[in-house]
Amino acid sequence: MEPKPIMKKGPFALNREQVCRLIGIVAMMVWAVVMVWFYGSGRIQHYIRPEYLRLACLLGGLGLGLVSVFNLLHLRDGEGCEECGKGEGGEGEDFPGEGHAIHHHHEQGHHGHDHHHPVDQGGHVLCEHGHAGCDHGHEAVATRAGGVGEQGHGHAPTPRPGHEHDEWDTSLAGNVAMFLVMVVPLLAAAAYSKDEYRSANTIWNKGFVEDTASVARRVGKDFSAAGATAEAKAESKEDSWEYTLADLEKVVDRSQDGYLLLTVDQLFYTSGDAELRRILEGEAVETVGQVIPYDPKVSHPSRLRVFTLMVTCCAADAQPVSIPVEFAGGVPSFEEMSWVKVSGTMRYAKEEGQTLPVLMVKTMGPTEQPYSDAIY
Amino acid sequence: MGGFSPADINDALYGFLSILLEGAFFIFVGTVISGFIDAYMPAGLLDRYLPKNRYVAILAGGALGAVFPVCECAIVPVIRRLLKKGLPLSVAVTYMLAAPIVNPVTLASTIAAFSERGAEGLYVAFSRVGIAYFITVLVGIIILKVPVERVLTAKVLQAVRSEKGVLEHDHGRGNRLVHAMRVAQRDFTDVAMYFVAGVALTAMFNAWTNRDIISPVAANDWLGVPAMMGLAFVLSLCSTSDAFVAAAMDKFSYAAKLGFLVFGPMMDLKLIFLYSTVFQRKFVALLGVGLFLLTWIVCVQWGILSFGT
Repeated sequence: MEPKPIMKKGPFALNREQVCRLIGIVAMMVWAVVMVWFYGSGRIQHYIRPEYLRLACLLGGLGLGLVSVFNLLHLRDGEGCEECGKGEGGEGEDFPGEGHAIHHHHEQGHHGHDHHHPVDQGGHVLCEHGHAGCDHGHEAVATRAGGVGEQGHGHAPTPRPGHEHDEWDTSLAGNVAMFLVMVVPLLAAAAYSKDEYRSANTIWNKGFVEDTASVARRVGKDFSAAGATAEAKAESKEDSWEYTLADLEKVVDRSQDGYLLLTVDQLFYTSGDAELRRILEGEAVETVGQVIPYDPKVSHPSRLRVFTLMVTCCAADAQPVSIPVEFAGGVPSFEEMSWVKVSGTMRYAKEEGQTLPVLMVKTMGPTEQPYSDAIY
Repeated sequence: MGGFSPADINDALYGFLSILLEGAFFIFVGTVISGFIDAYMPAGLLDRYLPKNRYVAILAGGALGAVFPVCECAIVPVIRRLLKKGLPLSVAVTYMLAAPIVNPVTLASTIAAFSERGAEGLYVAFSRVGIAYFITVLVGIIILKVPVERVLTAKVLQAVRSEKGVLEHDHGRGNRLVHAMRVAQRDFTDVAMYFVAGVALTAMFNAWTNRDIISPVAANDWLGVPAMMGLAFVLSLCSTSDAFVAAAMDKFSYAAKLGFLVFGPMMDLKLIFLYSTVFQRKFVALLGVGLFLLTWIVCVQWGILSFGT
């Protein structure tokens, strides 16, 4: 038996299969490091909302680290296959396709085989056979693989059972391609992503939530009559017990200037609740959000929108929730997608069959991106 | 959509990273499981515990997600190894398609997403699971008639046929662990590669496609249902959070939302890539078309039967 090609000389000599495995180990380590670092640095908070999923990222990273370190330590181990005549750490290239990235697709019928390799140029560059119409029947497999003259290596016509040392294990080009696909996009995204949506196009593409029922699950309970005691409710007749401003003030803070501090999704929610509309009509409120034109195509003379993102699991499923903000003196200059603090008076307007929660602006100014549960 | 500004590119990268960081853990778990299955599961085990009657086995496979819930990312490497251990193809496909939906986690999140709609919402959530079960079992039964050589990739097919269990050789406990970890690594790098490709495509659609494109057909279920299914295909959301996105799309009927929620976890951009590590391309295409048609018809009929629209 001819020895496998040795990739590195010296005390750390590795055969091709081990080098390929090492490439995979390094790729996994890169993922492990990135995942753990994202969690440790807190950057994950901008990407994933539920705490348990953030933890999953950490655990996944640690797990990947453990597996790759384990495999590194056991890089040269055999798997006890010596009695079959081939060991992992040694020779045994009596498998078709092994080490022959160039011709491997002739060893197996390649239906759906390497054609699904998104980057399979590596192994096929030198191949003079086209792939169109390369529809070998599976019966052809054995005969092609069995030829002794092929590549000058003695090939056993069929692989040993239980061992799948196929070209994936020994295709250097394939593993390098795998490494690049695994590592480059991840590192590029980690390096260049600004940890938030920057383009108004994305917000318009996702579309604003239109039904208050969709936010009810999240903010409905914010308005529960926390202050009302059981007796007070029981005293008044059930029908006439009303939720009043006083009740609202028990659960919502006021700013130093006396504005009710409500979030954008809370304000949006109120448009669907008659009681809350009654209380908040004409009331002074203040909110924080990102500013965007009222309409993507038409420039509105007096209105903009202020929005916030509702996220369930990760940033990709974020849904924008917005309220219109109206300026008595016409729309001022503003920076799209920037964070603003807006204070003014609430006015509920019936337009085109909908009730809009319009904030009549007194002041709008830039503000810091707040930390909140919803990603930012 | 004029040119792509740096902000647009950023948003795709941002979405890409968020899906990747969320899914990586689940893929890792799936590949560790697959590694241990390969190294430690005796080849005859599945034969012994599976119902002998193929139809019963398929029915069981569809419900198995309730006991072994797996998310759509993790399931593919696990299925690959189970096939090699002798799991019949029909049961494997049924379990693979059903598990991301027919499980308590997805049911709970679907119920939560539609919780504002009261009894109607509850009905929709359970219908999701019921319709998915029905469709996946049907697909499994159809697959009983399909020769396995037309379904599995050559690599997997060869392994299935030649698999006599690594355990035939006495490797000893230590070497078996090494084998398990190596299989886990190989499966992870294999899957991760396709996952990256799928997530990259999905992130671009997610950031750059306007949801309103399909709004014009919302009123008609025969058009609205497939439109939502197409959206689910390109968004490739996880089955734990897609219900919230569907619930918020107010212009569409429940039938269309169900189309989104049933088709998405079975077939989407991300999964197309993942499936190709196990199945032939032609089969994946046929499966996609078949699932699309089945889901379309079943959901529209469900809408008619449930709400008379």
